[in-house]
Amino acid sequence: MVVRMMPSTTAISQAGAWRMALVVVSLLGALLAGRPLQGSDDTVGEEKEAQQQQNQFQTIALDQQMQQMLGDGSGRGIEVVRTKAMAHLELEIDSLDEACALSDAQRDKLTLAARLEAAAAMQLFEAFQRRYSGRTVDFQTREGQETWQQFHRELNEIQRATSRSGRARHLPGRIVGSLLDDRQRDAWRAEATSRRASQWRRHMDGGLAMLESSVGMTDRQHEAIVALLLEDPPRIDMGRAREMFGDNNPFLCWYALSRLDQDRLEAIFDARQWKRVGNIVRQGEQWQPQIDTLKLTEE
Amino acid sequence: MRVLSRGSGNRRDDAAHRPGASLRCLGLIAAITVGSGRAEGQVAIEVDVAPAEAAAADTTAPAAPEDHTPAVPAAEEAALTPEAAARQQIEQMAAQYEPMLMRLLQDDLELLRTLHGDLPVEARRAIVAAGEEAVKKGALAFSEAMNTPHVVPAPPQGVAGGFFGAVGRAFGLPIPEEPARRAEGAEKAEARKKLIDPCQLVSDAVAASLVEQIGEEHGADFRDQLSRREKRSRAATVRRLVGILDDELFLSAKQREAIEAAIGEKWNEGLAMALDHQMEINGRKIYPGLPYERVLPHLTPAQQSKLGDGEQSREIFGSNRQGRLQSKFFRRANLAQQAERDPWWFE
Repeated sequence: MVVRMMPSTTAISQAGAWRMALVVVSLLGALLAGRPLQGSDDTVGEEKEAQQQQNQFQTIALDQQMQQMLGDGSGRGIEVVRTKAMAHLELEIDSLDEACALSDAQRDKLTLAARLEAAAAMQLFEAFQRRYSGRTVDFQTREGQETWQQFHRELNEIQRATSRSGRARHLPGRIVGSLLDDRQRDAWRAEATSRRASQWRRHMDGGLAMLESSVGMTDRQHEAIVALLLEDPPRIDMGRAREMFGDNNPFLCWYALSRLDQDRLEAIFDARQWKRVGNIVRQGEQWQPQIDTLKLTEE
Repeated sequence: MRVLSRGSGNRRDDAAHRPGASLRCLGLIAAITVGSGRAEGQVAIEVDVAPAEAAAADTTAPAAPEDHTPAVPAAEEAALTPEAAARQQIEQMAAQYEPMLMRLLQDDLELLRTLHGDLPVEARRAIVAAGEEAVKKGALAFSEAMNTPHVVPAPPQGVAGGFFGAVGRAFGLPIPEEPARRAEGAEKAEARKKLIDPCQLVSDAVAASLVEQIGEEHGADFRDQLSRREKRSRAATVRRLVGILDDELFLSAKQREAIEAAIGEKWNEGLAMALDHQMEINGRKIYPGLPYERVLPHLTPAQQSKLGDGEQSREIFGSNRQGRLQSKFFRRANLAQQAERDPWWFE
């Protein structure tokens, strides 16, 4: 719509004088303030805002990420990792003490080993922190995406390397056997065996829950299959299996089923059920190469 | 001057907040003011305004139609009352739950076939029909339960029972129940009644139909197996939970055993939530649904300190009945395997 006002060459009427003054002031103001206001400014503003928001999600400061992922966002940074690692190792020594009644000297040696272990873990984390500190990832670029993936890969690697679940391989775990006397060693082995059995039972639970859903197992059948699996558990490194697949992996159970005496296993089920169980056993068999590749078999 | 003012609501406009913008705005206002007095205007100012905005500026002009909102969806939306919209959402969600419940039905049917592989054709059809009806009913009931807001009552303000309550408490006298509290209790009890366990509903329907078809004895057998299956599933959940605590706290064999028994004695469906919804608050892991009071007595002081008292997990998802119902539903549904319909049931 065009609004037109006709100019007048005659004298300005008194009634219109104030309007004229306002126009002059406003035009001067507009000139002094730079370019005139444009309708598209509003749109440009929104676009800028949206762009800023988008950029905010498209770039990530890795320092901030490390704070959140390692330092719980508490602002204490990587120090949290040290405190946590040490507290965890101390709990482990407490547990050993509870089972084996450690002497003061044994406890001191294990504590020292735990400190060295925590320090080694910290070195890994600190090197990681140095590599990525001050860097920003831009997800819009290929390089940014690759950096992000590499960042996570390395972090996972370090977390796995320093993970408590692989405790048999950490320093206190490696020296404990030589520190204990025979009585203590027996108690320690009994604890380790019991823990291993409980870990294996969880994998079994995961696999059997799915199996019974597929084939409608009765209670008697369930008991029979549990007895078979407990009689001959696979020699899997449970700590490492947990790192790789969590604590409740059905495939490990199915893999174990594939290693059982198949005649005894078949005898548990009716013909209809066995057809389906057979399929599951075959899936379990296919896990052998992966277990070999990942070196999950206990030495 | 082209003015494209898009109603930006309460959004701050960059252009309007730049230095000098206020002066320019003043200019705009002035220009419009001049425009309004065009009869006496002395200066020619051409204002090219978009139709809608011009109409908005010129109150005498007829209102321009707004073209940015599609007319049909708006009309449909307007036609839906809040109750109808809520109902629609419930039905949509129920449709999503149906396939999950159908898997649970298939589980039950599988077990039934193992137990009674000689069921007559008519009996099978009737059982499946009853089961499928229960699936539909259960999905709808579950969806309704999930769409009913769970209101955690606010802690009572002031002294319960008022002045008389305070005096009564001081002298060990019984405190009269306040009407508001009574009403709240009744409301909660009513809401509780409405919560239907869809998994139970399906199993019950299959069992009832089985009894109807082939007799009480077989129905009892089936129910017994269902109950044993549930017991096994719960035991596995508890074992897994204790395993997670073991990873965190280095429990001894004795502690694991004692905690397993303590948790198992007081089973609640919220426990399953603790498996999949562990959270970390201020560097401490919390397990919604875990009965901390039953675990803590079996821990050493160092372990207790690491676990904490679970205060932060009290009101988290899984700690109320609605959450527990949901927990059970997903615990069962996640385990149930997707299988093709067994033609034996539909012969």
